[in-house]
Amino acid sequence: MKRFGRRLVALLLLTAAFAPAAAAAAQSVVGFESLGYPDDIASPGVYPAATFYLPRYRSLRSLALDLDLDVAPLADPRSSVAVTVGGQPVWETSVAAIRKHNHVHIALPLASTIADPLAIGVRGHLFITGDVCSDLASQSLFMTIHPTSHFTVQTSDDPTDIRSFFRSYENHVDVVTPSGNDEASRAAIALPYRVRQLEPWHDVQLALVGAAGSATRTIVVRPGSAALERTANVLTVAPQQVAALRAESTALLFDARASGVTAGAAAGAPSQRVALSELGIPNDTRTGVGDIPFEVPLSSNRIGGIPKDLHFHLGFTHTPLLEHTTGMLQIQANGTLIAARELSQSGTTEEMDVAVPSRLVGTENDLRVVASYYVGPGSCSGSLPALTGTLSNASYFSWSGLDRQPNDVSDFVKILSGNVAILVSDERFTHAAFRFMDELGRVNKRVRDITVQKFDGSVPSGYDFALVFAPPESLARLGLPVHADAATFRIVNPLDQRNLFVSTQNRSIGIVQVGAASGTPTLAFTYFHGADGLAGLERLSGADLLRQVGNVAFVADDITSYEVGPKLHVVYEGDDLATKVWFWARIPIGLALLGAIVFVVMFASRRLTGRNAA
Amino acid sequence: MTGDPLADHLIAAGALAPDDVAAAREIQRVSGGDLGWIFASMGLVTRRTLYTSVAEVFGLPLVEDLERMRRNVDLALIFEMTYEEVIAYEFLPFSMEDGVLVIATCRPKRADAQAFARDRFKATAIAELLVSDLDLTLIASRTYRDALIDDAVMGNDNRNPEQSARRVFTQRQLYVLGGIAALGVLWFFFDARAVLIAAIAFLQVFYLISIAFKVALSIAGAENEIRKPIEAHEIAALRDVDLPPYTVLVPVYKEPEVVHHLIAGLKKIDYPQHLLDVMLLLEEDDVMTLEAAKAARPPANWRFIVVPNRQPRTKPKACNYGLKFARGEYLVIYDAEDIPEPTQLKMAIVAFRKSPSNYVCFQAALNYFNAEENFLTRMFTLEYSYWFDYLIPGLDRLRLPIPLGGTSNHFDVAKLRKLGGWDPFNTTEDADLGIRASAEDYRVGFINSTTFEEANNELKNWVRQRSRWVKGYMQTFLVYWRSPVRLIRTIGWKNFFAFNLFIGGTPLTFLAAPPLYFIFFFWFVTRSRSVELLFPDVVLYLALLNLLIGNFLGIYLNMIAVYHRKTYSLLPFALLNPFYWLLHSIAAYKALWQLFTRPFYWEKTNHGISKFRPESQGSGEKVAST
Repeated sequence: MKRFGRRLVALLLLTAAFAPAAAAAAQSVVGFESLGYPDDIASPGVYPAATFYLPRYRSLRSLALDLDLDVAPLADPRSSVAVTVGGQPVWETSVAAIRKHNHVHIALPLASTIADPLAIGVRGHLFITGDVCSDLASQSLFMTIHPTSHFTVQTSDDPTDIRSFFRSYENHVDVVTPSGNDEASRAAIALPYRVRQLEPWHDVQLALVGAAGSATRTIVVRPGSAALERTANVLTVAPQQVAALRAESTALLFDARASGVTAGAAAGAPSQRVALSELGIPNDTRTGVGDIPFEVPLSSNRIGGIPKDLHFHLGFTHTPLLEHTTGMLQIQANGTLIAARELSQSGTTEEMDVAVPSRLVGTENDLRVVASYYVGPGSCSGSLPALTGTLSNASYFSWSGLDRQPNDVSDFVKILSGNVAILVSDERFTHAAFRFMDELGRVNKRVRDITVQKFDGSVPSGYDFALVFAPPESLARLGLPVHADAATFRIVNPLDQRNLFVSTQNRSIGIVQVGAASGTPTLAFTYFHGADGLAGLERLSGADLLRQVGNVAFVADDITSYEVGPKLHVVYEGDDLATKVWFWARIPIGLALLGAIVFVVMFASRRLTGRNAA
Repeated sequence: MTGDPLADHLIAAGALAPDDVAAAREIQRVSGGDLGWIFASMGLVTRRTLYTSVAEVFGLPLVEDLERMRRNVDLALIFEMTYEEVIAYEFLPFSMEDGVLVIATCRPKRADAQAFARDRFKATAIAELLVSDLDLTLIASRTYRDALIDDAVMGNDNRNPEQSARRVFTQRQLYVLGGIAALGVLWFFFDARAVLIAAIAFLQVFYLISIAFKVALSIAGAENEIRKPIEAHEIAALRDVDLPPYTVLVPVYKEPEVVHHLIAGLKKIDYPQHLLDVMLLLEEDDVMTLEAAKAARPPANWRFIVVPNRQPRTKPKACNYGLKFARGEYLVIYDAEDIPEPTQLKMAIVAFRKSPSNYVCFQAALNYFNAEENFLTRMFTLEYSYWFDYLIPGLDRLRLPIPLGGTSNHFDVAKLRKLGGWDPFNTTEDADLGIRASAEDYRVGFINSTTFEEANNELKNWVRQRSRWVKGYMQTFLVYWRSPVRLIRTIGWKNFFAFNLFIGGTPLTFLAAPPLYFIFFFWFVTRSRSVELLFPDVVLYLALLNLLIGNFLGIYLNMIAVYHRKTYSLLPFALLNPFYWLLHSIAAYKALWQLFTRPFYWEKTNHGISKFRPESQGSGEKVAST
């Protein structure tokens, strides 16, 4: 009997050990939404195209693409759509076939390329009349890929090392912390950001829970545990090791267990130039006539601040121009033309160094390089007299310095980078902080070091930025625009004394505000009139934050921000002298009034009520 | 020979000319009356000459040594009669021997008096001593001094203590007011803002209702423009012979300079002089005015009634005292400097005769002959023009209680006595009497006749006078709020509403104005948020409505009063009303202070200080010149 018991326990342990591995060997679905395409992808022109990237993990065995797409109704049914892997066409069909279901299922051969990531392209060849010039001019051709499209990934047994925990096509991760443990809760706050840094290619869905749920991956933050330990799809992390979960360190964790992992050395002096390749922009080659635009976005969240003395160094190569035609190269910054030159007839690499006027530089900078090529009538017969140009991804931006003092919430989210302190007063704020770091990871991955501490009323020095999650009464020393511990307050336009926002004592709201505590740019999260206001903060999305162009945002069912300070004033009910005086003087005043009433009543009773009053 | 022994005797004595007798006889023919009294009332003979002649003609001994008479009088007989009987039958019992009662009388051979004397003293015969009416009054007032003054002071209180201001507060009122105040303080302690908002909201609602009420009254009062209450032909139709004796009470205190003017003014009244019973009510210590009055040698129908010195020294006490000696069927009160329109008494009689029997009083309009003297007199004139030309007629037309003005109120004497006269403890006894009349189911009416007075032209004097009025309003309000349920049952909701707005609302308006003005100007200068906090939207809109529309209407209503009197030069001054209202507030705070410290103190208004002097009376036009 005793022997049978031992065998049963051994069998159960074996089953427990292998069951998750068996589950990991199943197929995963990677939706386009998860890849960062929540909306329709519309591509216009006779050669509409879109490219999607998937990492090529060791466990990948097979890949299929389910495409939901529409093609312009005017496109000839004989027009075609092709799918490429690594630039190689692997599948093609006619528009007529697509129109039957507007859905195609394609098994993608992985052997066609060894590249990582895999670049899966969808390209159309559309026409209406056969006269490309005419079809192009009609602007009636397009291809639309819907976000319901998805990849289906078949994986082999997942490796059990720590490194591959973060090399998964599954995008649901539960973060588990023991309830009531401040240290674990605080440590968990940085996790979503770290996971998003480690898995930037897809939208990981993270949830902070008390116990493991249905997610295929679980990270348990457990004080006193071994530093890092993977058991099947569960990664147990000691609080002090969360900081080590960075690409440069996890890439080296080939075992299921590790301890004493340290983060990589701090980066050196910040660079003052960034190439388009570093911004994720590939060499971009386009062919066409008319205006051929190349979009070059430069967001401050990519470089860590608003650049000073911004220059754009352009490398653009184009084909020779046909005889009797001219071409022009324009550079526009945020909708304003800042430089232009004529394209050379012989075709060459055009190099330009353009200073972007500081008045045009902000947190979001959209540069457009426009190659304009126009041909005369009749030039389209026979062949397409198009210009082909390539915007080199070696083109780069340079600047002399960065302005890292954000003016509004949106700025802060974009500029946030480097060494960041997260200061949390108590466990009530854990979910809000966790959610913020999760959403921050969607829109900004430039934070290098994260230190989570208990908030003691001040922001410690030595950090590039600080995030504070605390109740309103403990924020007094941070010099924030709005004192959320006031009885009520109003945001007033001083020009016309109009109330733009009036708080009421009947409703709790969340407040996000930008400040500079002890010189450190600080984003503070708090509530007004009760911690119920934190519910709004826990629902905030990265997109919400990026829309807030004011330095104070109020979050309830909706989020609204205001530029409190030079533009708008905040007025407190309890801020005037009379109220303050009343606050401390009300007891003596009340007693004095009561005393006066008693005196008057007694006096009148004795002197003014008797029949002998005369 | 005239055929009248007294007239013949006076002609023979050289005291009268035959033409005087003829004139007096003509008056007697038209209006009736005693010929000798007509001589004296016309000033043709002095009272002494008249009574000496009467004594000689009728063979009666004339009592001239009053002190000797008082020493020899049988006090037991005196106490058999009340002072009311003495005054009514015009005799005093002097002695009784062998069934013969000796009486001292100013009306010898008066049948009803002799019948009363026989009956009361079981006398077989009556022997008469002649005494002048003035001496009889003097003896009676000295003999019954305590009873008279007791009744003058305590009459109303004894009659109905609930309607007397002798007690400023009842214990129950104090408990209720103290309780409300204490709860207010507690509320204030926990939520000061809410208390202040509630108080401001209450005041704003009150102001709004008050303004609306005034507008309604003004519209109703404007009807008076078209529909004159008493028409000229009604006055012309009165026959002198049908006119009753009319008492004119003139309370004065240390105003020797106005006596001549008063005599001249009252001589111009269109009423048979011998039917006028003019009583100059003098305080005991006011020797100066008494001497001036004697020196002026007024006609015999004038009496000087010296009011014994006893607290409270108030005008209503003097009036009550005078009322005891009144001979008239009707009675009017004038101030010494008043100039009533000549037909005013007749107009009052017409009003009484054409009105239901429950009318106890008719109020004439008051206005000022020195309106153009300074800012204060102009504002006072504007105020009174509006008050008496629109508000009081409006109250009359809507049959609401009318708070009487200080003078020119014409009473039915019998009903006035039933009401207990004036409340000597109330410093606005006239307004109180108007409300009391209403509470006793009597009515007060309005006649379209004007008495011109001297507007107060000195600020301190004005504040004294106004503080007294406001204090009286407070007293009256407190008196009738002792039993508000009873008051509502008696006068109804409509009158109760009007009473509160007029009597309670007047002091409240003046007391509340300075804090509200202060709040407004403080906010205007500082734009303080703490002020804005006290004005939530609804209250703010209400306050703005009152500030803009309310003040405008207050000024506008004053302006329309100008049109009625055609005193257009006063028109621009209506715009200065807010400043004038602030003066009211100063007076109101003084009144509130005195309500607790000196509730019955009569802030005397000095008269005769204007540089303007009236030239004529009763024209209804400007009657003054510098």
